[in-house]
Amino acid sequence: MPRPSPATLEALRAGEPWALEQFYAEHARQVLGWAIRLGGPRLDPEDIAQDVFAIAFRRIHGFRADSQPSTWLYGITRNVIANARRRAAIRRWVGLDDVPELEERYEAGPDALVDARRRRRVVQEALDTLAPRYREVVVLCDLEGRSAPEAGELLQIPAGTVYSRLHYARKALANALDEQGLGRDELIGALAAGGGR
Amino acid sequence: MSDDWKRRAAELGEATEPTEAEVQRVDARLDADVRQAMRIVTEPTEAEIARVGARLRDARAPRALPWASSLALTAAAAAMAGVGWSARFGPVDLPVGEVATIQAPVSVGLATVIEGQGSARVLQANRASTVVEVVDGELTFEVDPRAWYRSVSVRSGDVEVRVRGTRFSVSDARSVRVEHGHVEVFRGGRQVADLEDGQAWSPPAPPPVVVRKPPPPKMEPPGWRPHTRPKPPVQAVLSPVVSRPEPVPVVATAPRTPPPPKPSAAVAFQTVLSRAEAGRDAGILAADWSIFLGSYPDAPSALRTEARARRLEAWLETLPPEDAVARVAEFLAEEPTHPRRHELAYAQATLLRGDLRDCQSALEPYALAASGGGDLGARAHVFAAVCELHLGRPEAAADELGKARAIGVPEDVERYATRVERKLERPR
Repeated sequence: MPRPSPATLEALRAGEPWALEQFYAEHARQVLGWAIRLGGPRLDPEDIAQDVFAIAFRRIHGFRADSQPSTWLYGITRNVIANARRRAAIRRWVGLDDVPELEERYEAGPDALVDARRRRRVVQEALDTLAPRYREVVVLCDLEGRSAPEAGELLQIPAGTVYSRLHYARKALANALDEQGLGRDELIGALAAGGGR
Repeated sequence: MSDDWKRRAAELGEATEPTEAEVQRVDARLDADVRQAMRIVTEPTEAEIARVGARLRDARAPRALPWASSLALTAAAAAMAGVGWSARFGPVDLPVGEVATIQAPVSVGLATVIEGQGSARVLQANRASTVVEVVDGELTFEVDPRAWYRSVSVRSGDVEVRVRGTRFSVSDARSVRVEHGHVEVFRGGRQVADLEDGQAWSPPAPPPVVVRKPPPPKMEPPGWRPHTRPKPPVQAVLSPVVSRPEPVPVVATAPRTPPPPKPSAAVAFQTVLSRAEAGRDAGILAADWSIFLGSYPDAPSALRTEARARRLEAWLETLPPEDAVARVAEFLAEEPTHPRRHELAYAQATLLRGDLRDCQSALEPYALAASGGGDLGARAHVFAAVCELHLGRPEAAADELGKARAIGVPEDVERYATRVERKLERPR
């Protein structure tokens, strides 16, 4: 993702609508993707993305011209998701949200009406079983195709650590997908069916 | 990635280095195709992106902040016209029945205006349908494909475009062009075109001025033409011709011949049935069955009951699970001896257990499904066992599983049966 030019950055800081539009257009897909993949099935990705951009625009003065916007946005996204998860957990704990948790959480059903929405949710459920540090590397490397050094830069950890986490993340994810009966063929079927949507 | 990993791990000399076999095992289960599938499944849609953008621009939404200045102008314009935005948290909706100025992106009922500006009036907006009238200007709408079961119509003058696809635009020029997908165009209440990828429609020229050869009479009465088209693709885009000066092929115009006689109920039934067999989208199919039921109130009761059952099957694929479950319950209460009651009950139970996570409520329809015996009965017993186990009743689970084993557990649900058995063997 390109760094904003000095003029664009100036316009962003001045709150120029065209610059905000441009910034949103360039990064919306990326941020929403993180929200979907890292936020899990119980958080609304649109809420997350809205919060991320609202915070980003409020804090645009703190964005350094030599920084990568994606690194900066990823940091905000991480915090927003962490806070949202914490809030959701508290709400469940105090009984404000009644989220039934089944022991058998991943019963897609062999001949259930598996549509795109469900596939997304099931993949989210599988990702959600991973610890955050594993979820992040599998999302950035395996789902978004970043190299380990690139992921390391976003996560601010050495590339070697990324490789190490990636192996365990993959193993756990493969197990989670097996657990819920979403096997390789079914996922590939999602591709044949025209993807997620 | 695995080679990189091994190289890096070797360089680092990590004590946690996995064995070759371990790496291969994991790579086989989570190979590049699987990862690509997962990426696509979790990819954000254009509608989601547009909705978030719309929320950010909404000055009065609690979370929106920075684009207040640009939206304020829009809101002011709307206020001057005597119309206000319904600015609540979430997608912005227009007030029903009033003309409002629209500047994309903004949500309009089940659709999102992602491009253009103009004014429009929402004629209907509820969970199942959205009807919008474009008063002037040019607006590009996007409908989330997840909402295909819902009906979205956009009107302009006496032209109505019914879309269950993804993206389309309509201008007050009353011209329609499809880039991807499938739409039906109605004029004066009659269907005048059925458009697919790359096709377009515009109204015929005023009659006395230009003499031209009429197009072949390819259109049949609304809703009853033979359907041989494959299932429509995900994306449906209509673009107005008026803003695009390039020539656009006209594929259908309103026929000036009197409408053919209404086909018999049996013919109409067969027509919809053939569409179902041709893989018509379930949401559109449900609408077709509704049209049949509405158009033929005096059809033989067997036909009507079958049409209702088939509409129910389409709804099961498309309605929100709680609505679908309610519809099945209603149908089974009215038709307790319907030949497909077992399949419908099974589908109902699957939704209850899977989507709604209501194991207790799923047991009754599973019992009905199981009473039919056979392959379906065995499946129903297996999943009833899963439910019983979840509800903390291992004896009942074992009983259900025993019944499934007695019939013969189908191969594709064997893993569920095995899992129940494993858990039953494990000390709790």
